[in-house]
Amino acid sequence: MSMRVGDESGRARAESNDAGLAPTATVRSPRGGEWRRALRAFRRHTVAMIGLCFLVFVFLACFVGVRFAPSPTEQSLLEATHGPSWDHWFGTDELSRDELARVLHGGQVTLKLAIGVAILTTVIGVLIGAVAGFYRGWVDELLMRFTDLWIALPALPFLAVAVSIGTVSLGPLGSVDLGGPLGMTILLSLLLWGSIARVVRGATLSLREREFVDAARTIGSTNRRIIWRHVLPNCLGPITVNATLVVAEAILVESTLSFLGFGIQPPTPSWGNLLTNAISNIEDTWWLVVFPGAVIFLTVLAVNFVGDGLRDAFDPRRQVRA
Amino acid sequence: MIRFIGRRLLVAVPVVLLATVLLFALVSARGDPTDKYRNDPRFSQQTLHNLRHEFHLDKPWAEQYVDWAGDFVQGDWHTSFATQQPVSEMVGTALWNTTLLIGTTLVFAVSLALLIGVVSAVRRYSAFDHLATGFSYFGFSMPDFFFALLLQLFVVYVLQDALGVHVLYVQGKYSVGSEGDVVNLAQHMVLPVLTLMLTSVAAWSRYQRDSMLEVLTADYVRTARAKGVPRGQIIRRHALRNALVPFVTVVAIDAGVLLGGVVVVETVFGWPGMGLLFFDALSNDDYPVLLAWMAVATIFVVVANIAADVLYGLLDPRIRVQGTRRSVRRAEREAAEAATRAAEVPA
Repeated sequence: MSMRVGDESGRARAESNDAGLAPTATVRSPRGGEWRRALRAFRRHTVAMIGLCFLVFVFLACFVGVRFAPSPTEQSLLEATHGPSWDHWFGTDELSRDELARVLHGGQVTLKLAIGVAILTTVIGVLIGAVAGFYRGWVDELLMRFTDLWIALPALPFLAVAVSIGTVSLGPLGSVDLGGPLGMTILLSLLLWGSIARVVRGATLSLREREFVDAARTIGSTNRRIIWRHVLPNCLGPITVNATLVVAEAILVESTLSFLGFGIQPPTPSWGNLLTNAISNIEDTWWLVVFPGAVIFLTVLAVNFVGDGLRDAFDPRRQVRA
Repeated sequence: MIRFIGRRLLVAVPVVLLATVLLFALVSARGDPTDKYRNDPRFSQQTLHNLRHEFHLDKPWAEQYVDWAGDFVQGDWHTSFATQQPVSEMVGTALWNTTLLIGTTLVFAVSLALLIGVVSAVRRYSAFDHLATGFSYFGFSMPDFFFALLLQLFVVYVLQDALGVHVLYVQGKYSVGSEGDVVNLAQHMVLPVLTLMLTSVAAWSRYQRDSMLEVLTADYVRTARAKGVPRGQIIRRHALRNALVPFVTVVAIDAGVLLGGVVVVETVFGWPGMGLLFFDALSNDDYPVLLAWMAVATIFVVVANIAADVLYGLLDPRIRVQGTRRSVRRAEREAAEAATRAAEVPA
């Protein structure tokens, strides 16, 4: 576990590949072959494939299948708070709206947000991690101290307060509502980049000691080019794994915040705020708790499965063991 | 050791300062907390003016921060907007209730996580290990608010309605009329503690398994085995003692996560602690409570981290000599790498 956090090993240990880096020992086209090998390994990972299939199903349901579901706003007042039936698979809520349709629409918001957070955190984390790992010294010390502090912050309360700021003006870029999907994507990204930064820093620290970096420097490559062309492509494995896990984390944090009423606000559905009202009369309307909650749980579980499959696929040593 | 603790405390000062600036900036960015009283007929212009003066809102931002920090350090936390009670009293009561909850959770979660972690490392790839892996997947992926609601449903539907058993309560700290009764308190605490334990046990048992596996491949464990030391003694004395060191750090680093969990759990179960206090303060725009809460939470997290460092120093003498956790981490990593290389040699 601690081996993943940072790797200051020198040339002598270059072979040990601690951060799950792609081995670059192959002479011909190392990366293409590496990706093919990883893909093969991933396909053999049964649990990860099940997770992937489930995720594809959830995405299709939320973004395509939603067209065939009842309208999320249509009310049939005689059927308010009815349990699951053929007409309403997930039942109806206290305003007699179809719960399944609301779960699917909420899924659009939550899933888009989670993927946005994964992309943004990757950008921030890779930038900070690569700079810290490559330049070392006081830059590294400063950036990593900051990262440590950032990771230690109680994320949920800080996010809740930040979201409650409401609409902020970004000058010429217009304004953004921090409680809306876009604003929450930005806020969550600003809070969750720490783990990616640490992983990338660890990988960079060991990669910068490798022969091909020396070779690139010898022929006069600039630092920026070395980072961009030689270091980062070799970190793609761990970065992908981490981005996947951030998706899971983002779904959990968003739904928790929205559930508490501090996240995305009710006219816009999200997986979290669907359960907010359910809590007040949980004894009578169990389906308003169980169905949306189970969808969140299963989706996060599937993402974690895929993340684990990717980690094994990118780490040759793990396959030998397992 | 005292010098070591002193140095950690010294480093903590700028961290706390930075974090409080950040939280003050966040809370201030929500806007003037007295704005909502502007059109309230119960508040005269003079009252508003006095209120703004009391909270230094009539000054520039930097001065507001300095004044607030000064008041906070001197124990003047003002009175709550919502309840008119002194904030220090409210935080005091809530802190005690939350300590009760977190303390109980820690005792159970740490023991359970250690047990699961050690057994699944020693019996790697056994049925128990696979079961533990499955459980940790469950814990990682389960949103704690959903788990809390499921527990409530279970108690209400299965225990109370179907079986007619009324042993667990889903709301509050005591039943009306049973204040101070320990059994009644325990009946109220089971569900919140279970919820808080779920995520912690899932994460910590995995961590303990990994670090235990790392230690079990170390040279000195092999030496001990070669000498003929009994297996149980190797596990307890050689492996567990060393694998405990990183575990302590992880538990302390998760203090911030636990605080987030407390907000969820206390809100769902109506437990009158820090989490519910935060929920109420943010919902009611209770400016003084919110500020005090955030500051106390930050200090709690920083203190937990220092406590981890100190414990680390106590458990591992190398750290007191070399000074930082990082150098120990490096030493551990080198040892682990050597072990990995040794393991890669075909048997």
